[in-house]
Amino acid sequence: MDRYDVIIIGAGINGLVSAACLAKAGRSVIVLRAPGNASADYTAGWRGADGFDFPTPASRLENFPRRLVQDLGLEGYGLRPGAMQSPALVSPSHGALVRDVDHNDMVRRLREISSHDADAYTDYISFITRQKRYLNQFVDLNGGAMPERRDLLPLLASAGQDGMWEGAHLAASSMKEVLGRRFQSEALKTLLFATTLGGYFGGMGLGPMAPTSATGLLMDPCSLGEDAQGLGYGPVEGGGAALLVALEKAAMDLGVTFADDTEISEIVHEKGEVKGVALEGGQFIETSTLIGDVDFKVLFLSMFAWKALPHDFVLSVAASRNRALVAQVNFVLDGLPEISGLPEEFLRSGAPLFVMDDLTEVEQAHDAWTLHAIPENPPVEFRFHGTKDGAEDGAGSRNYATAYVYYIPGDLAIGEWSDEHKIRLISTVVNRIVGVSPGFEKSLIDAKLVLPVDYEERFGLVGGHLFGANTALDQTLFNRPNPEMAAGTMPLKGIYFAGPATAEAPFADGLTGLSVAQRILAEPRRGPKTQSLPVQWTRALVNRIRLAS
Amino acid sequence: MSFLKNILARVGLDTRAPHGSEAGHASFDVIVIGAGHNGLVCASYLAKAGRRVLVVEASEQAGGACQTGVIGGDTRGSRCAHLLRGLDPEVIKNLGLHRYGLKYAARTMPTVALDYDGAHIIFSHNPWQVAESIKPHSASDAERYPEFHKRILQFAEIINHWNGQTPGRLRGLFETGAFEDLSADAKALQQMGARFDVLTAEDKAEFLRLFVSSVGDLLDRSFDTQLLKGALAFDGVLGRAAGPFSPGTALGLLQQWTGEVAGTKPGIALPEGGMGAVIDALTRSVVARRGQVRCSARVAQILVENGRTVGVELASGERIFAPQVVSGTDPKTTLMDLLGREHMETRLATAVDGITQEGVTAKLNLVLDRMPKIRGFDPGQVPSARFIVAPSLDYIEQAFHPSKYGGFSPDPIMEVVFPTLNDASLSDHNEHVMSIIVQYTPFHLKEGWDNHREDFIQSCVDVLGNYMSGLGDHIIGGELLAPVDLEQQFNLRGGHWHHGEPDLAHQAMMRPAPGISQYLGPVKGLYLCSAGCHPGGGILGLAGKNAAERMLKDRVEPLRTVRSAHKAHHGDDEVEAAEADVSYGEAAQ
Repeated sequence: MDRYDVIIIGAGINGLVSAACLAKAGRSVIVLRAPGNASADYTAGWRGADGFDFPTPASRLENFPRRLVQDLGLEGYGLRPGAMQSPALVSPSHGALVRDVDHNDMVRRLREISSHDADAYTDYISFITRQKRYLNQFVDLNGGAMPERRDLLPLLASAGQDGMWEGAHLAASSMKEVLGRRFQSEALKTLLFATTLGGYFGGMGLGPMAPTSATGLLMDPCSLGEDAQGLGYGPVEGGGAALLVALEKAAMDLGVTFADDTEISEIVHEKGEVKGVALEGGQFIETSTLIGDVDFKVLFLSMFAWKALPHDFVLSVAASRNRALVAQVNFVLDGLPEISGLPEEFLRSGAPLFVMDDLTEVEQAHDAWTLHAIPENPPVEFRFHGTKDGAEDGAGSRNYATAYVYYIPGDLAIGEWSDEHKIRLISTVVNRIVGVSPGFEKSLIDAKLVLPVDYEERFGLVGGHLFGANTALDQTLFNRPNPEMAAGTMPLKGIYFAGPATAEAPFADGLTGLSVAQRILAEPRRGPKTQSLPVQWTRALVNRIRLAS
Repeated sequence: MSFLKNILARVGLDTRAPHGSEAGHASFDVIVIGAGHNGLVCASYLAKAGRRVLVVEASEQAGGACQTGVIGGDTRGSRCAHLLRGLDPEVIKNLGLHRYGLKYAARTMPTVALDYDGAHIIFSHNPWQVAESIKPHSASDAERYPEFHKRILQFAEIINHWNGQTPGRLRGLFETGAFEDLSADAKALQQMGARFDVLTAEDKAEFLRLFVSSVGDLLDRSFDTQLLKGALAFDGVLGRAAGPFSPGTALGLLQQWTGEVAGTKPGIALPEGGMGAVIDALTRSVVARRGQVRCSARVAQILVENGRTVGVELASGERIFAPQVVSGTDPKTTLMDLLGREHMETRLATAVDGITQEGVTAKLNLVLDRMPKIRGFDPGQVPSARFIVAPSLDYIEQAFHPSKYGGFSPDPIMEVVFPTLNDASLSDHNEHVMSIIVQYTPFHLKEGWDNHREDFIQSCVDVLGNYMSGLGDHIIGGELLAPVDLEQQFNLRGGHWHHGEPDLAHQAMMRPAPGISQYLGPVKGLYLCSAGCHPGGGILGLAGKNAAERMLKDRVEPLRTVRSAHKAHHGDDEVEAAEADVSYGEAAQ
């Protein structure tokens, strides 16, 4: 029988961060990876027609803590954070507008449109930066524990008399109210809204007219300015995969064992304490500390003989909302699309290009989503990945791009996603892009749709919600994913959750992994002390598990 | 004790400087703007404490949105609000409203969630009875309901306690930056949370989560039956520009359930003679305490001198002076139109601008020659109830969507009451009144209301016809009051029943706007008591009561001079003449 100090199920960013941090502190750690999640699979996002791997959605790591990059020496393992990028909006009615990351450039740009908005923008950025500073007291990028409910008032009090009501009012308001009150230009309002779509707001499942939607503005990656503690807005070179590969290498060098192609039969527990993990095929790995970096519904509803867990806890887990709202279309093109109103370099930079008209149109897309219908004009975020020269097989050069489509329901009210629905959605997206890039359709070689159900299958996220659970305020901070788990109430001793539905996760990638590791290290060590296994032994184990399964 | 207080108040009154208005009007301690229910409650409390009160009302008839009037032929009905769901029992007792004539035609009225097949769910204050009617839909929901009912009532009780308190100032609360240093405001917050402390840790967590939840999510977590969820969600969205999945609507449900009427909770009652009877009782209670109520007296301006309120000027040009003015009309109108932006800090003015005030609730009053047959009930056995058309969460959501873009749904959600089943005084010819609240009716209809009234009425009648066969044949008269009409006829700005959207950004310390949530206006001597203040809409009377309590606590400084006020308004030439006219302050010294 094998025994480790810590077993980690799942090897996402958080699982790997935990593994590396715990191993660094001298704990013996084994990471169990499910079939299709081995190291080599990290780079395979969505395989395109001619072998190009389209990146997974987690390719924007603006909030991965810089501290972890240093502590784990990730740059030594090939991690290359990209430069901050300036996103842009192209609206059929309101034209193109770039959101310069450099504040002064942005103000100059706005001055040409409206001097009112140029001034309002400066005021807005200082407002958001101020509020973000208060929020940072909740989200400690050094991995400190999240504040509890009773810490809330003193924490808010530190915001002072003005910040206090500004913050409360902002958190309760809608995007449309907050932006509408400050700005005149529709393009600017829409652009400021759009840049929040890929982050926390995009997980809420609310439209821009819903109360509390304005909290999304606090997570606007472009407003962080000097306060940014993460990697900044811009893809890591090689996408999220590059981060996973660097983390894996770091973890391996720190002595972490990886067991690939494992399938969990059951998490074994006794007298309210975790005892180990039984794998399909009969192996048993013993431990007294287990971290789940998987969907919490999967963890608690399918990895346990769940009748053994408290009934209320199981109900509470099952009741959490995870209504997906993002899909993507991966394009292979034989030319570089031209976007009206934007220079060619813009697309080449890989910066996100938002195609949407205004907030009313977005709200209407959200309306359709609420009723499980396909929106007529969903907001689209277009990203160019790169060009491959066609020297080898005589074909011309190929270009690759992805359109993320928002407010796409996981399930349709009228039944399954049929081929007809899929084709309709693809042509909706293509038509949106053609609207701002005439001739786009002529360069189209291939278009593949990735739906929430595909995310579910690929990442094991129930419902295909990329955050593991909606991030609306009733499922945020001390409500995330439900009040019980947020308060650290776990059904068993020795079990920790590091999946995407934790309190920290919507705010920063990797933060949950760090915070769980710190919590485990702060507790007295449990069970007999064991040594890390030598690397050769690990490989043998991996093979054994592989053969068995 | 209380008589002593009265005497002291009277002594105080006598020693105060004599002050009054121009040309022969009696002098007053307080002018109340608007004879809606909150204005009258406030007036009555103040009069009870010995203040000389004048209520000035713009319309010919007192009551605002709470009144009885002709709705067709000579049949009368509650033209706007039509049920009492929590006129605070303290208010009724303190002001002796039953003594002044308030009677109920029906109390403990049940709510019937109309089912297309007649398997209605009937809500009452007895959760086990409710469970019985849920059983045909789902045995497990029936089993879960009593626990849900109990929990929501328990939470509503906390809200109820909170409703009776003046919210602390957000700014004042943290003035020192140290929370331990409890200011009066922090104490107010602590008191507001007093009932919260009795909850179990688990309930505390759930209660706090409900604040930011949508009623749809709350119900999806709790039940499976669509009809049950639809009817409960109706309470969460009623009167709000919000859908069942908009955050903040779970709080809406709690707020509707706070009401205690005639000893039952949640209580629903029908005043005899329509909602106007509440206003009649309140008016009598004011007059009996030597207060005056003047109708057809529209206030044009709140008069300010040297940074303090000195009275009001009516549209007729008449000026009435008093050291305190309290406004029962909505905060936006009070502050922006009657007081004026120049008397506010920019920041406050911006906050007041930010109050959303476009109503989404219409009233359709019909006169029927006889009661329609309601599916599932034997003819003649139709209970006196509040009927709800909201068969599912998705149905409500769908009804909500067009209202965001200036349209209305052909399938609206509605609340229907037949007051004549219990109150024969409303009709002289055995006709029936069908009083209908239609939710999600936009203030601004994109295509204009003029050409779409008939379509609108027709879709309401069509939908109701699904449950009440032959309804169309029985209609012999009636009126549609869309939000635009409510604005015109009842002086409800934006046609908003609650004097401002009760969304999360405008609750408690942020109602009506951050910085003025203590019933205290931005100028000394000016107070707010409308439904636009905490605890908000509905016929509760609590904003009026809380404001009166606040005013009675404040020291009243007698008016000294109105010289500079005249300077500002009449120009230098007239100053001397004005001085001679109204130098009563100096004469008193």
